Amino acid sequence: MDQAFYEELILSVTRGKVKDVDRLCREALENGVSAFKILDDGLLAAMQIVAERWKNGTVFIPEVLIAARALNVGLAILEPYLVLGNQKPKAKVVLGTVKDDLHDIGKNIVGLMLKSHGFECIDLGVDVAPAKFVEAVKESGAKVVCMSALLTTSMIHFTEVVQAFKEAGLRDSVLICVGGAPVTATFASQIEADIFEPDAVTFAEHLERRLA
Amino acid sequence: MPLDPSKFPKAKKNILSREEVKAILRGEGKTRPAQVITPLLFVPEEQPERQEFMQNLIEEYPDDAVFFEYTRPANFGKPGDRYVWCDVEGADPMLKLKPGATIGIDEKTALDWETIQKITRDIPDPFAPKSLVQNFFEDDGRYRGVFWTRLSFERLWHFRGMSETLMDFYLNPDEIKDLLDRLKHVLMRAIDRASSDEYKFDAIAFTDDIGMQDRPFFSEDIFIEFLKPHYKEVIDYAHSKGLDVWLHTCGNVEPFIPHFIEMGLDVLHPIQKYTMDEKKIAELYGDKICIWAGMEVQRILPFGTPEDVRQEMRFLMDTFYHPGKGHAVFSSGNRLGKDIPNENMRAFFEEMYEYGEKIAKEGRSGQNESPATTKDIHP
Ligand code: B12
Repeated sequence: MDQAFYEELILSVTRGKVKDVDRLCREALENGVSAFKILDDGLLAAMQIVAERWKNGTVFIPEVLIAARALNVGLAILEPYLVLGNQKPKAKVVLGTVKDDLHDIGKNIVGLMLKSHGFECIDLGVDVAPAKFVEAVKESGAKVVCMSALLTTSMIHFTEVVQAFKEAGLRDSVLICVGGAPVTATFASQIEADIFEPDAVTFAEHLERRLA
Repeated sequence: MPLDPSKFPKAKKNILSREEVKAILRGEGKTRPAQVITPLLFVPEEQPERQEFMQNLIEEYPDDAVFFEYTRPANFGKPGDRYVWCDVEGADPMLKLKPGATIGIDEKTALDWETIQKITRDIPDPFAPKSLVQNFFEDDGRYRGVFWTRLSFERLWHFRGMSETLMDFYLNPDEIKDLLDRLKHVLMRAIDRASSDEYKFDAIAFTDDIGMQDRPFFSEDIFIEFLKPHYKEVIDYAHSKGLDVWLHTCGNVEPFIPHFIEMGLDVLHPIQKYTMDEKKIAELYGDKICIWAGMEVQRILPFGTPEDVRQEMRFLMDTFYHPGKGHAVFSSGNRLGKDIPNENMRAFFEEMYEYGEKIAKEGRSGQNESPATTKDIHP
């Protein structure tokens, strides 16, 4: 497939055109293009563009969500062909909004950005009790735990989760990442979190570097 | 109705009258700035461990303008119900819930467009409940209004879920416009009742959180296409009935402020700290709209010292209040939560009154800076 094809695929993702993404991915597969190439040069390249625009402040939540939705449509088509050859899967990540907190938009965006960087995300949803984070790590063998909190009254639960991992003897085998509007770098280091970033894109890049 | 001080036996302040508050809103205020916390931001019952403390505090420092929370319609009902948001049989997602399952607040309660089309077009009917507002009391000479939450965007996602709504702007634009059109009707009837002889309110206040910490939820284009026409019709209608319009919106809404002004919005809350530059907003727009400045609740109120709280109040008043003109009223930026220490809560109310009195009498003597400029206030 030529340059024009990838340009069209990228545009279809960034504009959220689900039907076009569907058609283009199938077309490329029929033409014998490797699923990895379609993924890297098409779908993920498009998410990179959206991420860049998010960082620059030129797009907002709707544009991120419609692109992510289109990405998922493409991923579903490619999935059966994405047999792992020499490609190593990136780390598994457990993600959730802490106890007493129902805000989930930021957490979802973090999940999307991680996914578009190739991480496998296990999303526990909102109002997640400390024990549930630990349980999910035990079950999945995830190496990364991401917690989101949007309330000053809920971010104190970060500490309890850190404590729960200590008690389970798992503190040193996971990277604990925290974020959400009220969280600051100072607070994150106080509670002995490993990573804090103020936005999802910078975070996904940071995590990728950290695990490289 | 002239103001009757005997109605406020424990008050440690003189209360402003309806006319004095109106003058502040119009930029002709000669008094100290008004305190307008409202029962939406100050909920003693929510904090049983210090309910008495909170109740005493509000009796010592009563609001200068009174807002009554509207009587909330039920989310779901059955055909024929007049005061529900959805009267479609069996539409409530909770009914389909398996035992033991929990439900989130967002996508899981969202309705599909098919169900939304089936909702009777003119419900909920604000004339249906016995009282339009909760905890009503008779006119005591203060400025009064109804606080009706969820103006446009918030009401859309009340129906559709937040993520769906945000995508709907691209994927289902016509349905969104139609839903806003239905919702206009409800708002206009609420305005009719609020302005009628039954209540004779001075104002209607709305919430519509359209800002996030670092930017608005959506672009200016989306605002202009979908929300602005809806806001404008509601504001125009309220004005035609003699009501002022107050709006709360969290977060960074800087690109929208010129539109608010163009539409004639009277009062804007809270210019959330750390999301916008208060001084810049005051400079650009302070003489065009009345700012309902809200003290920040993420860092300063819960984690600052009482002196930080006082200094922040002085900073806010110096920034937004123009002695001799007004154009600013004061409150907290969001609900006063249980993580705010008693001393800070008290400092907040005291300074709002005391510093307000001082600048009203003596004029402003320079600009106090926010404590956040010299130190990092955090948990
Ligand atoms: C939308 C919203 C709501 C919605 C939530 C809907 C939903 N499905 O999520 C509703 C209306 C339900 C809501 C409810 C409440 N809210 Co609210 N809400 C907001 C609002 C306006 C936006 C939050 C948001 O979605 N932002 C968009 C996302 C994309 O941003 P974000 O979450 O910050 O995420 C970004 C980064 O922080 C980062 N990130 C996020 N998580 C993580 C995790 C990791 C690991 C990393 C690295 C990064 C990261 O990446 C994201 C993208 O870059 C904020 C205002 C604000 N300034 O933030 C108030 C706000 C958070 N809410 C507030 C309050 C007070 C409440 C309520 C208590 C209100 C009430 N009176 O009942 C309730 C609490 C409900 C509960 N128990 O959780 C206050 C909190 C104040 C405080 N003391 O902390 C805020 C700050 C408003 C304010 N101005 O004061 N709210």
